[in-house]
Amino acid sequence: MTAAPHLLLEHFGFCVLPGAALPVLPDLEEGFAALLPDQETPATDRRTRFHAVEHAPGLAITGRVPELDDLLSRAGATSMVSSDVNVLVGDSYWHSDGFYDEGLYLRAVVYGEPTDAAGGALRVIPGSHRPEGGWQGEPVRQLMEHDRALGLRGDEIPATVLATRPGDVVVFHTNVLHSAWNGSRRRQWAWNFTRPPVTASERTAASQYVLNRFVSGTVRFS
Amino acid sequence: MTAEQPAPRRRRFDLFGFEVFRGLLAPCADDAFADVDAALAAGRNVRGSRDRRAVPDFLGRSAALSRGCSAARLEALAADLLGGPCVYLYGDASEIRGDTYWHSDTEDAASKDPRPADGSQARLVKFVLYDTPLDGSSGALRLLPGSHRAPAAYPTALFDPEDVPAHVLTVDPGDVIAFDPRSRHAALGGTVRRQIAIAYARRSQNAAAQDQLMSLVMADKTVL
Repeated sequence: MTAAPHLLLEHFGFCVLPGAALPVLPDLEEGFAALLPDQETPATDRRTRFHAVEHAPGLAITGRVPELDDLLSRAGATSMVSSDVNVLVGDSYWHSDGFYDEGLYLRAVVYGEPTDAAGGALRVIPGSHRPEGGWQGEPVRQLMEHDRALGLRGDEIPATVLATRPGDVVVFHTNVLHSAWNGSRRRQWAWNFTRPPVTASERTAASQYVLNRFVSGTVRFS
Repeated sequence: MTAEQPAPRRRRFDLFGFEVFRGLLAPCADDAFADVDAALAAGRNVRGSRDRRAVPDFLGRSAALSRGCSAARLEALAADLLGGPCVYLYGDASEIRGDTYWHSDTEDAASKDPRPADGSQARLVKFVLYDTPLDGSSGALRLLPGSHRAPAAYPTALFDPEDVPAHVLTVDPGDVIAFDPRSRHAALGGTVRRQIAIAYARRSQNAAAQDQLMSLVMADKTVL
């Protein structure tokens, strides 16, 4: 795609910055190895380490990847609220990372291994981040129960697959419906950004977002 | 796809705005497109431009297509997808050259509030089939899943057509795509191809829904 990343992000909820993080990839690799050493647990376990940048400053990304800085600046999402590193295994079901009518919440991710449709690539439903698109409520429930409700496997849901190579940066609006299928073990670096809240309701939403980022996916603050 | 049940099919159509029926009209496709060729060659009542020559009311002019649609129970499929009894709107044939830009067939009407005061909503389905295999580089229909619910939320005009992150519906002759004409859709890299399009609407429950249906039909640029 050649479309301006900020337009894709605003209107469809995602964009890819090809190779943008390649210059810092050695630092990311080193920080990852320090926080999630290879031999700690079986290769079949999903693992996460929060506060990644605080524990390994070499994992910082803002100010080091001009394409990402420019994108975040255009979106106004200049405040990094959390970071994490993950060993992902297997599938990730259809979901959004919470749904916020107010404020702006972005997640930037880099994968340590190539991903594609047959190998754990992130896939999104374009435009599903916008409240006026009508995706919230029953549509989300049906997506989460896709086998029973829709008669489709998760990887048969019509979506855009974001195939990546190490060093590519994927940025997505955390409202956007997303998933990953057919994945083997893959490393992921992730940074979460928000637009500094202005109104009281935006501050409340931002607080909920931050709490949710630090809590297991089984718990939600609403 | 896994087990096929009417309820999941309707839910898929409601959720994404399209459904593909593989080989549904394969038994009649060759004969029906031969009738399209004959009608275009005869030139009688053919309308449009060089990029899109159309034969209105083609369903009434092709016995092969009419028999094929009856055998495939197309109206019953429409009723299944739309959730109630349907009325036939039109059945046209076209010869299309090149690209079709991003649009909703009911562009003007779809940008307004689609629901009458009682909350009911006019529902339409358009079945299309082609005379040649089509993929993303040769004019296959592509659309934005879910955009039928709020076409205005998908500003495709801001992007180069190929940059819109679309779902491409690859087809072979005899395959039938059913889609909500409010969906944002396009066709890019198109070779010369012939298309048959047949549309139905859910029977209106009240005067408000009838008015809304009329405005959607009148806004449909493909209605000749």
